Amino acid sequence: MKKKIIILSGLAIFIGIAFLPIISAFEAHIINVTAKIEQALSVNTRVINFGTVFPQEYFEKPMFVTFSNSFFNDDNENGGSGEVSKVDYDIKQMPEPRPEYINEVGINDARTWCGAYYPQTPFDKDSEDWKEYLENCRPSLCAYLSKTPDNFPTPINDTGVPPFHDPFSEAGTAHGTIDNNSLDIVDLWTIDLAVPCFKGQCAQDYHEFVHHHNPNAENIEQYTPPAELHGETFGCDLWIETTKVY
Amino acid sequence: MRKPNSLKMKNFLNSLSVIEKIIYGIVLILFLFLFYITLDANKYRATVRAIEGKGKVGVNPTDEVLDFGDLSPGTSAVRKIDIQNKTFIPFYVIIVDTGKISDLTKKDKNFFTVPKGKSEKVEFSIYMPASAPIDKTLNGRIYVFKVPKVW
Repeated sequence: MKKKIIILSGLAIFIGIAFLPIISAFEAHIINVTAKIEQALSVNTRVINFGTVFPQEYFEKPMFVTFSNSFFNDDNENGGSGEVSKVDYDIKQMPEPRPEYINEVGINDARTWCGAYYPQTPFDKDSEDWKEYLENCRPSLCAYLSKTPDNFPTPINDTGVPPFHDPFSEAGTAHGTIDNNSLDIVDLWTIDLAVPCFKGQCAQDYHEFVHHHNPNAENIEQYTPPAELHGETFGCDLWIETTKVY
Repeated sequence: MRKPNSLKMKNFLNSLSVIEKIIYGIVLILFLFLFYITLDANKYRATVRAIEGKGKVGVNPTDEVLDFGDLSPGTSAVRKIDIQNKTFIPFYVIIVDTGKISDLTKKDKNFFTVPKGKSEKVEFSIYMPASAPIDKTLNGRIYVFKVPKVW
């Protein structure tokens, strides 16, 4: 019995190896199921912490975007003629989920929910929509963050975003390019925070403060968070997404 | 005088009972099926490097490796695999990840079916913890098994 099992096992392995080319050909032409890695890469730089801030203060924090060490290693292996030279990327922003909500549903679902279910009505502390939203997501800091490129080298290939902008529109997305075959191998972004004042508690020169940082800002009232959010931790998830690799 | 191998094999097969032949046939088919599944699986290298400092990001958007780039502690990165089923039967997908990077990797889905003619994207996300060893590259492999769904 044991001898039979050994012989048949060996026969099965032999048949498998012998039929390997046939199986491969069959698979390639008939069974067409592919799994391809997408070139897009998204990175979240959620660690930029401004700490406790007061209205009309202004802060800057740096953020670097460059090619990874593995990219340069791959490039060296290819003799410096790697397939990828330039990478276009966007710096997108979306409301930040609270840690408890992330633990409950996972980072991806939490992030998606906070971006999709931001209430479209003006803030109302008694509104069920707003209550649920603020239970799961932090009040949004996105409108008050600017992304300022380094403007190097010329011609400038990065597009920044000033503070006091509509965080949900395309205008709130910064664009950048890094190029392995030029001096533009690293992009140094400055993430500025122009701290807003709460509704009904603004200084008389708040309009000047806003226009100083964004001369094109309109309807200044929309850039005054509700006073009920005083003392809350505001947040904004910044995501770097590669959009084109060439 | 030694018997030729073909005659030995013929005598051996004749010595099997019908039930034994059926069982061994089923085992052979099962083995070939598993062999095919393993052969057909997509195998990707996955890698990420922990770097010092905050607000630093290194990207390598290659489509040959699941490279999450250089991440400083507290940052996270996402890459996707696009699975396309261009056949006439649904396929059941099983994803297995191995290596040190698997401790940091999360998949948004696993053990799912891709219907015929459809595609599904699987999102792999990595969060670099504060305890990550700086300047260390974490490697691993991700296997995407595709099983024809005959049940």
